[in-house]
Amino acid sequence: MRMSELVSNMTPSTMTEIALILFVIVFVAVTSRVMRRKARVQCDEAAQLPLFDDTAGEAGVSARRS
Amino acid sequence: MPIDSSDPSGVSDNPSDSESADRGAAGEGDSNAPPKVEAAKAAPSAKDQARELVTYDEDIVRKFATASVVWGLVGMLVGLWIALQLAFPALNITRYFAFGRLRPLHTNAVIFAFAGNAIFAAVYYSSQRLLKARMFSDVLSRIHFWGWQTIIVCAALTLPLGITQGKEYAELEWPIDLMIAVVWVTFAVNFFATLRVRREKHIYVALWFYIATIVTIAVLHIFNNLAIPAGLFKSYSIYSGVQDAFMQWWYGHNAVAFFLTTPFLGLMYYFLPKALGRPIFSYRLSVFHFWSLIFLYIWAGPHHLHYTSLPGWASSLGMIFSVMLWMPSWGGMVNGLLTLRGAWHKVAEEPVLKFFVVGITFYGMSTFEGPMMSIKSVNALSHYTDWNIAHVHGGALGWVAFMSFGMMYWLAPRLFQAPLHSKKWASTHFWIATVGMALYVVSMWAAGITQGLMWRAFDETGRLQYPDFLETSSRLIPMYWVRALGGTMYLGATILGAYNLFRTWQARPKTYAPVTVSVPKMLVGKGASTAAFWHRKYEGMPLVFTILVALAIIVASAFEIIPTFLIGDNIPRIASVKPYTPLELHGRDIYVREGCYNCHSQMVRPFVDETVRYGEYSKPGEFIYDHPFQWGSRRIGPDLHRQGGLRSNLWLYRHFELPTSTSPGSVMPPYPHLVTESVDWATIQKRVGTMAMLGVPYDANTLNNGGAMARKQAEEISAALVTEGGPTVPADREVIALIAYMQRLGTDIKAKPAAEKQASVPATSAPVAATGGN
Repeated sequence: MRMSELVSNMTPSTMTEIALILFVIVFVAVTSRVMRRKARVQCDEAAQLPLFDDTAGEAGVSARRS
Repeated sequence: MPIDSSDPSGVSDNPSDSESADRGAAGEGDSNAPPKVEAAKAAPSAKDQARELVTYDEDIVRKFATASVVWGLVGMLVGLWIALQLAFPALNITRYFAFGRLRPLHTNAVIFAFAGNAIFAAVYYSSQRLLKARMFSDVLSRIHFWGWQTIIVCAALTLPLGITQGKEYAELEWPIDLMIAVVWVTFAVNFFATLRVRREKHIYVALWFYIATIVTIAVLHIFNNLAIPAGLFKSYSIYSGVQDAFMQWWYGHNAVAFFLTTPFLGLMYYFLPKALGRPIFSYRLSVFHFWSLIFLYIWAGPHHLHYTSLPGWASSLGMIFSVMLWMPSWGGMVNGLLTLRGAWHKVAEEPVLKFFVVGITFYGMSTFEGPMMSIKSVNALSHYTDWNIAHVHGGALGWVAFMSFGMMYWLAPRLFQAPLHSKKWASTHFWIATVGMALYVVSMWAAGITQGLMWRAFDETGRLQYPDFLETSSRLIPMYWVRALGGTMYLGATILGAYNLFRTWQARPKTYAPVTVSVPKMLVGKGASTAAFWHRKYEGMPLVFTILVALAIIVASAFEIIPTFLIGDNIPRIASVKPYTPLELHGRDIYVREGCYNCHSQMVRPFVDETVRYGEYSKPGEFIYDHPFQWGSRRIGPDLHRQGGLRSNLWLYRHFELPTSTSPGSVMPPYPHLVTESVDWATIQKRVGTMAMLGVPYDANTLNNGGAMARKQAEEISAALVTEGGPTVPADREVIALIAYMQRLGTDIKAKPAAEKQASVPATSAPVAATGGN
């Protein structure tokens, strides 16, 4: 089936529905990723990054064990 | 995802472990203080052997920051000037400084020069620090800076000369577009190469927003500006009509998203914690904010085209995603404002925070207003009115400019290594600008709603209550004065701010102390330690991340773009719609050159009030030869799509020469040069050829004798003018070509019997009733 046929056979709401499903997938993926306990610790450390970037002798969050 | 890029071994031989305890003391509450530039310790101990010194490139930040302030003043001055032109049309001095040419100059200057340079200052300052690395190449940084300024100067020269593509915020002609592409790629290479040599494992969220900006702007710029040149200063968009409109607003809306929003969010996520001396409220919320925002934003463009000839499904899709966009936007706003919890007292003392707080608040307001305006029934009222102008200035003056000013005041003492000249002046700047902005936005809301309601008002006899369009424009003049007052205050406040920064710069030391930090050494090659291992491992993360970002925006774009181009039914052909004659095509070029689309739409929406006022509503098939489309976005003057045959040639001639002679009270600038300038027939021939390359079906005669055909038609119009009692105008005058175009507009569907009209949408079908209030 050619792409144009495929697209032509869709009803106008098909695109909207596929888009919505895609968004839900992305949202769930991001949520599950961010809400993990491990992520919390990493995020708390990452949030500190802008505050310690000017002083000599800093190496960054990555060096710290979580 | 970058937050998951931790070292799985849990082992790090990085020597800074022992130093992590120092971090707690590094708060920087007083943004007025000169920076503490610490030279790295001289003799490195054994512990420091795996480290090296990095000196940040501060000069490039100073350059971009200065350019932002200078161009900001220019852009705002032009904005004030065109605001005054609408209240006092005599300010349309010469063809070069008429509203239609200056308005694109204003928008381009504030977006790409003022905001653009501010973004680059923010990116260069914060990226180096967040990545613990100097920019990859000083040369690329300078090419970026000087290239960008050259582009701005080219824009400032070409737009008043009428050299334009006629697409909003994408007016710049193809040679400048190529320069933009080259400079943008230079910037991208420099930025991504810096990411690659970074000494900080985690890529902080501000950098994600920068990456999204760099990737998306490149895609948008390239695809919207695809055009075939018809000369050094003229090109035609490869898209036409509905598809061109779709591409343009896909670009236009995402320019707002990825040039005026994401980089400024990056700025917020970096500079707000810096100014407050505390981390962002929730880093996890910022992750949500980022991914939802970039995923949703890219779909929203079609809301600029509600009730136009764009297919309904695209319009609905744009609306739904725009409404959904409200949530991540407010997530970002809440994240910014909650960062201040327990520290609100600092806002009272610190102008930097004042700017940030009001800036973030305006972000919240604009991102509520935008989704609301994207709802079709609201848009039916707001579209083509000053409500749009109010909305965009809430975002531009409130969010973009205030975040920039906040950043500038915070940066100035650090960049110039001297205390800010006057904190009091900075506060004065803030208050005057805030009041000016309030006057601006409220007056434009009032103007927009007033005009929108007047257009759709019917009296008790069922006739339009304000049939004369001019009446709906003249009613707005007092509000235009209020807007001009607000704009004057805002510009005045900015001048005070610029002077404050200038005085700070004057107090700089003779030579700037280098800002140097000690960072882990990057080890590569054989025998590298585990430090090198972890570095190697995450070198690839920016690539993965960038691919995810690109995927998010490309998938969304594809969902809207591919069907728009593939579904034949979306743009039903109309047999009677024919290409423009060579003379009409030239007239259209003049229409584009003078920027008529800045004040006139060519899109009659299917509302009762519009069909009564203008005539049959516009059909998609009528625009298939329009490279570029000229639907417009604002009606300062009436819609012109059904203009053909509505007025005599003589009326049009007089109207162009001096609009008030036919329409007393009109704010339209006069175009006397159209009567004196001659048409170059050879150019016409070339442009017809270019259109044919784009698929416009000209016959062999037109392709070979376009110039002669144009001359013949011009002579007929010239003779008709005399017959109508007008002056003798030589056939080669530009005004004749423009009259030819105007008389053709929207007439094709009237030319043939109804049987030949498009089948799927009968011309007699009932127009959609305008929502409410009729």
